[in-house]
Amino acid sequence: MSRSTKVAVGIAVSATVLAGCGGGSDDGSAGGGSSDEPITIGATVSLTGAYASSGTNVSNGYQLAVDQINADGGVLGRQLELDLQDDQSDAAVVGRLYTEFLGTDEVDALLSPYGSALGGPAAQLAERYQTPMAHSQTSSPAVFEGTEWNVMAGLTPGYTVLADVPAFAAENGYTRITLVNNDLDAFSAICDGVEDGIEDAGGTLVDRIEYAASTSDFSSTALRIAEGDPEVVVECSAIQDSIGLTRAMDQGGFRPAIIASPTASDPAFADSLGELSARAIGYSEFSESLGFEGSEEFVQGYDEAYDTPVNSQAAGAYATVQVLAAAIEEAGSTDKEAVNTALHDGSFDTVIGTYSVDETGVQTGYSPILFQYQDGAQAVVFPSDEAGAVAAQLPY
Amino acid sequence: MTYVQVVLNGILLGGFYLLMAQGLNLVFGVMGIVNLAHGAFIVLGGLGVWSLYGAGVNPFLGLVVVMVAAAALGAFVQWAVIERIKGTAKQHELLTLMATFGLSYILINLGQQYWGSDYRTIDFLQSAVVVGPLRFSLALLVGVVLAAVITLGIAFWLTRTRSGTSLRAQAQSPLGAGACGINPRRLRLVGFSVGAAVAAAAGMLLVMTQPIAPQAATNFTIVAFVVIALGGLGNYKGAAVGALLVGVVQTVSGYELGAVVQAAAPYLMLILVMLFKPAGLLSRKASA
Repeated sequence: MSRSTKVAVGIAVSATVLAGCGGGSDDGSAGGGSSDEPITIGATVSLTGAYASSGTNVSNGYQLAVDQINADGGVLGRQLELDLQDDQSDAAVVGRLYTEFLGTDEVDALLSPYGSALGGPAAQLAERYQTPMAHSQTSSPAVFEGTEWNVMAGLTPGYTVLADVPAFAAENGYTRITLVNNDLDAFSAICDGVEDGIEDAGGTLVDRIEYAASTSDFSSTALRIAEGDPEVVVECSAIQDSIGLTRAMDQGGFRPAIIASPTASDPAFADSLGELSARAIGYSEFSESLGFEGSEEFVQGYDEAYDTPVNSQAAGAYATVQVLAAAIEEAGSTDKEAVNTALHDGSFDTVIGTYSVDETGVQTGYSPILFQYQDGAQAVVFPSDEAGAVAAQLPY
Repeated sequence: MTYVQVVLNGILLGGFYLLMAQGLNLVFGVMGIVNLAHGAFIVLGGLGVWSLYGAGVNPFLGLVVVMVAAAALGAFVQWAVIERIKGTAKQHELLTLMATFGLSYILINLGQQYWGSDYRTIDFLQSAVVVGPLRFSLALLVGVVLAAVITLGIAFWLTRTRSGTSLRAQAQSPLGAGACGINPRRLRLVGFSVGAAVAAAAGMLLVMTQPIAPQAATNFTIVAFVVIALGGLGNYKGAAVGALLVGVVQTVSGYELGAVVQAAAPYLMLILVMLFKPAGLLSRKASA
């Protein structure tokens, strides 16, 4: 568990103790039996504060899925009622709000807040009150360690997101790879996955360069990368770092054949880098061309409701509600233990693939695809036999 | 040749740091106001240029707009907050520190409400200038020129104009300056406005060279404090030396020892200077 996650967990647990709330419901009494009353789902999202942009995407995904499920008749013949609160991107507020949801025992199930830093403390409260929580954007497996009531439903672990880059590179004749990673756990995990992928693909690790999260000047890092003359550079970085590093390499006169970044799907990546984003590689868990369950309805509904293109975060949130609804259907009631069992043992189709989790609740079913910016759009390029995949345009 | 490139990159980075620090050097070093909202002025200036650029305004024209807007905001802050804080010089310094600490969070939150929390940058002057085997970021070159012009302009104002020397006089002895017929309130208003405007100018360069978001404001305040502390408070030559030193040490340590050391290098330098030359690198004798 990362230091920040531990701190956040500590804050949330403290908030719980201070609130003086009692234990959880053993009988799943919020809605365990059959009823015409709505099924209540509690969630917080970051509508303000540092994660507001991502939080809004998640909020949109949650709300759209609930609206569409209700329009289709609901779950078990009952409507879903989403109690969505703004957590202000603050772990202490997350602790307070989830404690309120759970302390009053008025929710049947929970959806997570945005990100591992907020998902961690929320997960601890779900455990304490023994209420199932489906996580949409909690990518750190550490959050799920030792838990029984939490599942990763809206994305794959960070370790896997760019793990196919070496195989993709090898398929296109490139094997020499340099990894550059932000020293935060979440980014290191992404590069760990790529490093294992290099071994599997028969590639060569030229260098692995770590930088502090507070770094803003990448000129020296770019020079070090260039000295190794790698064919592939994988930036395990936050969006602002990826932009800075890509610019620094270009200004230093070095262009590898492939540049890959986990944040390439962020609209800011292409907006900020302009022409430098062309032919960059990113990953996504959602593409309409993949044709997963409900994709068309999701894209159409999103466009109508929000008048903006769909994105991976909203798709993950939408998928998370799909999973929770399917688990309640499979359980046949809102009994918390039954729903939790369905979440852990079940396999459900979603807009981002077929959901399944391991014994700790970490996602194993989804397979992220690699895309490349081609003519300003994200085109699926790997796996090359994936539906809708096109030939990669290389070198970068 | 790579080493020459690393050092030159550091000098360019230093010019950028100098621009970030000059506004604070004026407000803190000359006027004695510990402005913890300095980074917020930088970031808001940069995001203002980002918005104007999105609306089709050339960033250099945007620079003028945000400098005027920041000067107006600075004047308001000085009039509405700083000027109303009473007490001895020592109390005043502490109270302004606390007031600007609160102000920085207000400005950051207002920035988040308006621009959100995403990192923003503009795709402008991103090419490199190539001289033989060496390459320079065009944005940073522009920054060095801008920093030099602003530094010389402020130095000229403070030493060669009546209002500038009056500002220094009132900072050293408000009572004496008042006895000479100087209007200290108006001077302080002008001084804080100029500091805010220079901060906004640094924001323009910042948004061209790296993505910024309102919540990053505190980092820029800290970097600016490090630079002026190294150079000696209020010492313009010292600030230039401090900024160039921080830039070069960062790029060299980043190249030789890695980016983790690079991030820590300025703070290590600050500790060393505080231990062995607390009045700043260009001071003639160490003060207690």
